[in-house]
Amino acid sequence: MQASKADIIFGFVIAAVAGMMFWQSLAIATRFANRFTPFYFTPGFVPLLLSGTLIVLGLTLVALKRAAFRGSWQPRGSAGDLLAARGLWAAVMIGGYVFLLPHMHFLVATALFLFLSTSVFYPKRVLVSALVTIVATFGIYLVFARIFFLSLP
Amino acid sequence: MHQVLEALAFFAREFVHILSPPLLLASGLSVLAGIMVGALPGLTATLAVSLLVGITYSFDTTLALVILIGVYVGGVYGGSQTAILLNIPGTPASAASAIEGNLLARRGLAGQAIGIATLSSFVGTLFGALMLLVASPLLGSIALRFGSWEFFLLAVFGVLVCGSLAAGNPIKGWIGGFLGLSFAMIGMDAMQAFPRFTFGNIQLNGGISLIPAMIGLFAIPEIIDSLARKDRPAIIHKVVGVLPRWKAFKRHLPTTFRSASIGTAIGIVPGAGEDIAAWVSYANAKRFSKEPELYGTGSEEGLVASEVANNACIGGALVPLLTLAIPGGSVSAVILGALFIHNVRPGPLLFTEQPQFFYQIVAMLVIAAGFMLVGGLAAARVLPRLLQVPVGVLMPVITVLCIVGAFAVSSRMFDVYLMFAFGLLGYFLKRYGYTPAPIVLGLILGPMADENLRRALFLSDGSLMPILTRPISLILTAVILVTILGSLIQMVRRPPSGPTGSPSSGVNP
Repeated sequence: MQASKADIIFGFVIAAVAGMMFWQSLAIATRFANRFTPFYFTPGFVPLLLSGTLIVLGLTLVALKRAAFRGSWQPRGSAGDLLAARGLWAAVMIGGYVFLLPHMHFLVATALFLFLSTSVFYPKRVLVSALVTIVATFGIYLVFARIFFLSLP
Repeated sequence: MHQVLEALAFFAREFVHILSPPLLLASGLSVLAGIMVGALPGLTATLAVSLLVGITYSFDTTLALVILIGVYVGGVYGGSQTAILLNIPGTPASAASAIEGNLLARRGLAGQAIGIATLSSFVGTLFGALMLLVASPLLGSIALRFGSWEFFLLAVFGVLVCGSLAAGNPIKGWIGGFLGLSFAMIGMDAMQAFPRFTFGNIQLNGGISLIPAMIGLFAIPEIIDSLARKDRPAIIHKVVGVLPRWKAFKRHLPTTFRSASIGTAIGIVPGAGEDIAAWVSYANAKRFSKEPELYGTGSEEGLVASEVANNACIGGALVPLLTLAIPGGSVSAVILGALFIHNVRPGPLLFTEQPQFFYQIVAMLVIAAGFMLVGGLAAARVLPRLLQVPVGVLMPVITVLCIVGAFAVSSRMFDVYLMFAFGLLGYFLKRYGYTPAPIVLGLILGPMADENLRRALFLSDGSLMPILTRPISLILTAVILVTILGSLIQMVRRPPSGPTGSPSSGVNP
């Protein structure tokens, strides 16, 4: 069985997040429960069940992976392996584009994103990147804003 | 007999309705777009459909669904072209086709292999549509007897089965499913109007929007993954003689029928997607083959088995979607979200309240199958050129479309942030062996589970006895227990795949 540190960490994270959800659900349920609203009818009841189940599943995952481990950590899935360099670049670029959009016009932000990302991920021809940027940016703008009348970010 | 004739008359009427030129044009273009998407490695039918849900939300319901169904059918089929020509399955659903299809191509029979795959996919889709037409009203009439307990148990069953099948490890699948159910709890409680887990953010009062979450979970991880990989090699075989020969197809009729039945049946099970159908059917065909020695050397029969089954799965996946509002796979989960957006409520009442809608869906499937047959054969010579478009150019454009799609639904930047957050979550989860399908299913079924459990308990004064006294509840409970025990026993006997191991992925054709 392949096992990794990441699975164990993830199991604990799930259990911890679910634990917080459990606590909040319990607070909601007890706040709402009274003579006329039974505990099982409160808005906190189902989240309580779900978070309880998630705690059990998270800890089960930890227990299973620890048993499979027999005390030896495997390098796979370590934090360094979390994102491959190119994947990290892609995520950063998409994130940058998303957070740039409210501050710039759609056309400018999109052109900037497309040019940078095609230059990084297809670095062979800058001319191709520029051409793709112009065609795609204006194409998307025309199709969605002018033909389908959709509002763009 | 009378009911069957009535159903056929309904179907004929709606079929004619869909035959209008604008809808036909939309269907044809969307099937072609689906074929292209499916053919490009890294782009899946799920990605394309989730992207289009956001973009088509302002369209007329019929037009939007014609487009979504067209892309779905084309997308599942399109993967076979890359599988045959490049030995790279365009989608996980065509992974089984790559084995025999590419070997046929290497023998100089690429055109013939594409012809067989196209005809098989056409027959599979038609069979699935036929089963949808026959099985749905039957299941719908049973579902009319469902009460709150049954709907709650059905939601739990959907999440558990999807979790068991979608991920290599059922514990991981169930964690995904329950995470999805938990995400669905965010926002205003429908019964007592109390904001849950919103942390004072009014944007979350309406809950997690389905479309941004789906685009994020399905599309963003694919984009990041594709960009992280180096570009694929472009070794493409020459394509000649794509027109399938009836004689060759006739020889495989028993396999076709068996595979179509397997594909449809697997499609009905929540979470068991097109790739599982293709693999099961392929293995089954090999077991019953008169020439098993040909498998692995370029067997037409093996190609027929996988292609018929993965397309028959489409009709199967729509059966629980339309009758119970439980999607059979990830694409149908996205289509369910689209139906909600267009104010169509699938479920047992669909057949009494909007029967025309059900027959329209079947008609859309049949028409899309026709376009797939013609478009697939015609595109066989053009597609190899399209396959040379570098991923580094294509994916950034897809990213922009994802953002436009996520924003379009409510014109809120918050939805774009949500899409990005779910995208990162999806990427992280994918790397460690979790698949997005159970999360999406949980997100969709969460409100159904929440409201029905609380209502059921309220009506029974907190007693759990109705689970045992109501026959359908009892059956569903037994099925849930069998699912849990079966998955656990299987996990103990066959150790699960590792963290970065390949989850079944089938739910993401």
